[in-house]
Amino acid sequence: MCFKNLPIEFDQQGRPYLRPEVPNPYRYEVRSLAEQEERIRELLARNGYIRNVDFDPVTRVAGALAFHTVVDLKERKVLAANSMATLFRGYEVILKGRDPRDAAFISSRACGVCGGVHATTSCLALEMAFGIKPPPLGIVIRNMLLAIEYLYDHPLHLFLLAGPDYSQALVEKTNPSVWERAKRAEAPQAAVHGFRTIGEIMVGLNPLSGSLYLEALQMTRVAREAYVLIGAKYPHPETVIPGGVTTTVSISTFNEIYRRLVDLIDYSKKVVTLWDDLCDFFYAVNPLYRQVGARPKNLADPGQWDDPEAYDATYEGCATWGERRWATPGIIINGEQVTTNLQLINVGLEEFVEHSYYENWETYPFRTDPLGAPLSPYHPWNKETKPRPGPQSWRDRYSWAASPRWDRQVVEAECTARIWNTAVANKLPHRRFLEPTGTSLKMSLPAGKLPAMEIEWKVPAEWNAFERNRGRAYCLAYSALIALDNWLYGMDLLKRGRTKVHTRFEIPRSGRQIGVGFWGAGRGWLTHHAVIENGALVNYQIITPSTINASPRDPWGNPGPYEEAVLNTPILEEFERTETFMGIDILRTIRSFDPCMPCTTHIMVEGQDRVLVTEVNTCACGLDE
Amino acid sequence: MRVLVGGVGYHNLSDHSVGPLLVERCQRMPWPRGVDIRDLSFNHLGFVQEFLGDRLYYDRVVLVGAVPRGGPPGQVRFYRWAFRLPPEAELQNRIAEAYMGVISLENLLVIGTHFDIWPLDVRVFEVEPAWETWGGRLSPQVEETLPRLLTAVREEVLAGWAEGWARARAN
Repeated sequence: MCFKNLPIEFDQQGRPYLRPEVPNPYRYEVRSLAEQEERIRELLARNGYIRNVDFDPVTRVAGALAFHTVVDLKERKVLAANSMATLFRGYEVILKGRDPRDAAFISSRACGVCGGVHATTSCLALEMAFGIKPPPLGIVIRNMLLAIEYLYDHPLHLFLLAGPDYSQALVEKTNPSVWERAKRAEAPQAAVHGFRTIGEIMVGLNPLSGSLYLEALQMTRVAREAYVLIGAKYPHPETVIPGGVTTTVSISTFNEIYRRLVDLIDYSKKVVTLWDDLCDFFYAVNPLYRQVGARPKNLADPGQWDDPEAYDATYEGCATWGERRWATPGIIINGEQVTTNLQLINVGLEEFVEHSYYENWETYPFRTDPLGAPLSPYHPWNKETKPRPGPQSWRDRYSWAASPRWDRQVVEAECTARIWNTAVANKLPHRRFLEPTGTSLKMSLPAGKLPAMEIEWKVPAEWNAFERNRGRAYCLAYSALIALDNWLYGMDLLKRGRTKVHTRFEIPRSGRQIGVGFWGAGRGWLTHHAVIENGALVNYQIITPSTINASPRDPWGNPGPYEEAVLNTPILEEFERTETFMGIDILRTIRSFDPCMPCTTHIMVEGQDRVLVTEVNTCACGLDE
Repeated sequence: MRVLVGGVGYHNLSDHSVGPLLVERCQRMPWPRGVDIRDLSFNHLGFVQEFLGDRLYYDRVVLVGAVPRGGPPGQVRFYRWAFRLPPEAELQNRIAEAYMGVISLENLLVIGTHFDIWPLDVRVFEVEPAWETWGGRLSPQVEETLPRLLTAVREEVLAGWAEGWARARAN
């Protein structure tokens, strides 16, 4: 079945069980990184053209990320790569001992862009733990909120963070020959996006002044306006709670949202065609761009956007309600989807800390999940967060990110994993605007100010930096259509008088309950695992997409997704002297993941309850005491 | 005559909350017509968009927030904003930071300057924080500073307001 590395087999009914007669089934040997590091050290000492190239911090990413590389500038390849989450997030520690109802509001603060996804994931975990099924309209509103959140998030990435890497300002400097071709290259889909040449698109992407940069700023406002109509506040919604939402909606609220959705759907037509043209241009200029940021097609996603009637918040039913989501859950290994079953996705999950600033833990409270399937001692329900700050060492510990793995394999979190899993599973029950084909996902974008349009995202031949960006552009359209589909669903519920948005619940004051929220963030996978005892949280574990993607090496020495993608990246930058090398191909690779390191930049000071917020960058010119 | 008093900072982060806290206290006081008191502790781009979209106009803006510069805790620094922008790459980073949730008095000043929303008269009060701890309590040094800060802010606002009216009458 789906597990190749974990000691799990399946009975005739397809139920997972622990392989018998394995004395220590989850034991593993840690592979030393010393030899590899010694080899790199020798190469650096012997060859002047082999250089340490550090990006600290990596700019235009959310939060604190540093990246260390060793680059062979003669052979134009990357020899070593280390991803460093430089700050401790610590929400797992903050939430311990608290009232579970605090979790949504506190965990929301884990991110300054996408707080709503954390609030929702937290609510899902508690709904499972306490057996709360929200009413259909509550689920619909939650779905709309989360789809709209991405209509803010994706343009932000495509035009403010990653976009400048493809702008005239950068391409002219790092790859003058590419810029020369771009100026002359006609843009095939100019009729939709309005840019006659690729060069014009690149000018539009210029930071601060380009029309696409400025338009994205404006469109994020439209998305935020739609969001706050039902979320009350952005990025930390006030209305998302376990059991549904607290907002009262009416036809006029829905109409206000609709007006903005139409604009965002039109905008997505432009964005998809722009990024299609841009990606295809780079491939045409130099096929080696297909290798920039390349990784095996290993992706994981827990799906999201619940079916308002099917979702019952139970772990027992998760395999069923999971597959009725607008985004089908799934694991893709080497391009093949190995499961869409949320229970198995959960069972296969482990987190390792051998190369992170944490201690391993001894406790093993959950040997099975609530259905009796075996759980690893490294599963989030069993994990304990034990910070252990220390010196940075490439052979030992170098990151505050842990190493989440599925079936002990390096998987990647991506918003594109949503459309990929949905496309290849072909199980989607909601087909008003979306049609999976097994190899692609067709989307019907209705007419707004722009005419109606059919687009089709196809499973890419290679998985690389360009396809991540292209996929995110398609996810903009996908999210807009899911918002619209849920809008129609919600209008229908309102017309039928099914206006209830919340289910009352009580927190049990005794006993132990566990739950998991399976959801997603702008960059993909998001899960919260909660354990509650006697009415208080005793363990809370958050796995964000950037924890997965920024992860350091695992116990077997396998690099995390950023690291692996950078190691596979050829250096295509044009530079005459090593001093002028900017590392644009490496930066394009890292930024293509849309890194979102824990925001609101707080750090822990050992032994104290101190956090630091941000650093000072400017001088106070003209300062008077 | 229109004056904006804006507090900037993180809520529930002890001394770093001095901006929003000052706004709360200001809101409990009487002010002349034309003086707006606002908590600006949110996405700075959102504020810029609101400013431009709603065509807001002020003759004077007074901003207050905590900025650690290594001075003695509780120290209040006052200056007129000189509208100096950092290099372009740095400016991009500030905009990206603002979009990703960083709340910073400096970023607000810089981003507002880039998008040209500020009047010529922008006055800034910076408070040197001592504590960086969760919670609503201020350090004794900043707590002690607060009444003085409130008075100073009020003086700047009322002076600006009076100057504005005097100018209007003269015209």
